[in-house]
Amino acid sequence: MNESDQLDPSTHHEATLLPWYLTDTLDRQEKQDVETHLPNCERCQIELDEMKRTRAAVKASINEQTGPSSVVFEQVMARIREEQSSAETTIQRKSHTGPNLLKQIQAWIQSLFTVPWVPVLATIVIVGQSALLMTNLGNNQTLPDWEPVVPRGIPQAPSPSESHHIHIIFTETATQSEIQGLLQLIHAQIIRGPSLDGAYVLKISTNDLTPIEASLETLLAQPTIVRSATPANE
Amino acid sequence: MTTTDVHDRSDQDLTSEAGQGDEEAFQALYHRYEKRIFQYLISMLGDPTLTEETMVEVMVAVWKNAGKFRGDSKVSTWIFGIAHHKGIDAIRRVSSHRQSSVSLDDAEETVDVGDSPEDHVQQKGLAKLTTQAMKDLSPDHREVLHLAFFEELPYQEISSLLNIPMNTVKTRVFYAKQQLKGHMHALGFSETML
Repeated sequence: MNESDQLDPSTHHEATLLPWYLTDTLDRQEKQDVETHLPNCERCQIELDEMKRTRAAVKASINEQTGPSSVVFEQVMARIREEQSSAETTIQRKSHTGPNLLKQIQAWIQSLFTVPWVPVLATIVIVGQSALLMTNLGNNQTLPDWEPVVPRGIPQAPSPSESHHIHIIFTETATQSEIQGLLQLIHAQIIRGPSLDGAYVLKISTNDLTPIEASLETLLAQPTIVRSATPANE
Repeated sequence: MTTTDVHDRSDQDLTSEAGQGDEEAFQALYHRYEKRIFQYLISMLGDPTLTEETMVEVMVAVWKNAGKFRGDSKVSTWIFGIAHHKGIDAIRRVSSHRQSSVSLDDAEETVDVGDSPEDHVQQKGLAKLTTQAMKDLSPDHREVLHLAFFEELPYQEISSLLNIPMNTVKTRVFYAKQQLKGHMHALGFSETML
């Protein structure tokens, strides 16, 4: 096959345009060139005549081909559905790996709730926790037993000028229950602390007529609980 | 969408809808082009079985790539472009198996060498003779003759579809026609038959 762009020098350029002159797909200038050339060139007239007949023969030959069998259509649609199915499987597979671990965990948790007793147990736990919380809120003037550290922050009651106040530092080994028992004994509550040196301010109830010295004495009598206790000027 | 709607839609609309996964639109596009693509591929490949296999590849590719079609060319040019590439792939695949170019001996219609050229012409007629002569051409020559004479595509469009220079299209068609004429004469064709 001659793949070159070069024609035999004896071939007129217009001859190469004849197939498209026949199908009327040349632009105006090219069509005009052919029409100007043809009346003066016998070779190209013969070529045009041959081209017409060859074109008719080729068209007749191709028209003999009726088209594909219906099997082709079925195969195409089967392939398309196969590809779609494969694509969906890939998406599903991807969704079960890597970044979607959370979704897997969520699905696992949700599956737990399909077991009948799990929601009942969860409800009991929630109710129990709520009751415990309410109890502690009701006793907010006392320290919870299970807390190993004294609650931080400033207690609610403002200190009236006639009340007694004590600076106190607890020992590091003092437990919450020991501190709570001692404060109940002297009718005191923590109103401030801890400071940077770990000191708290206690307020002795104003209804209590016990002198501050007695309270200090009681506190200092518990060296395993109280490291130091001194009157505070509030 | 009704069946009537599908048939009324343009190639562009059908391609766009197929690109969005509309099977009905794709099927309408398929039936609109099935015969032309089959004829084009059989012009290239010669062998009907290979042509049907390749056609499946072409149409699946049309489905898969419809969503990427941006309308820069006509839909027909785009589909023929896909068919061209799949046809070339098929030729390469077959060539590598047979260590030769596509064998045309497998074609359904073969010349009975026992007949004289005159008998053959009388029996088969001009169309059959042309078909046989076409099979003796190279795939490239068959392809350009098909696109220029049957599809009647402008040479600019053939150039774009085959990705070859426009001058090459012109000379290739010119030489293909000469080759075809030579093969037809070899098979007993005479100018009086036309």
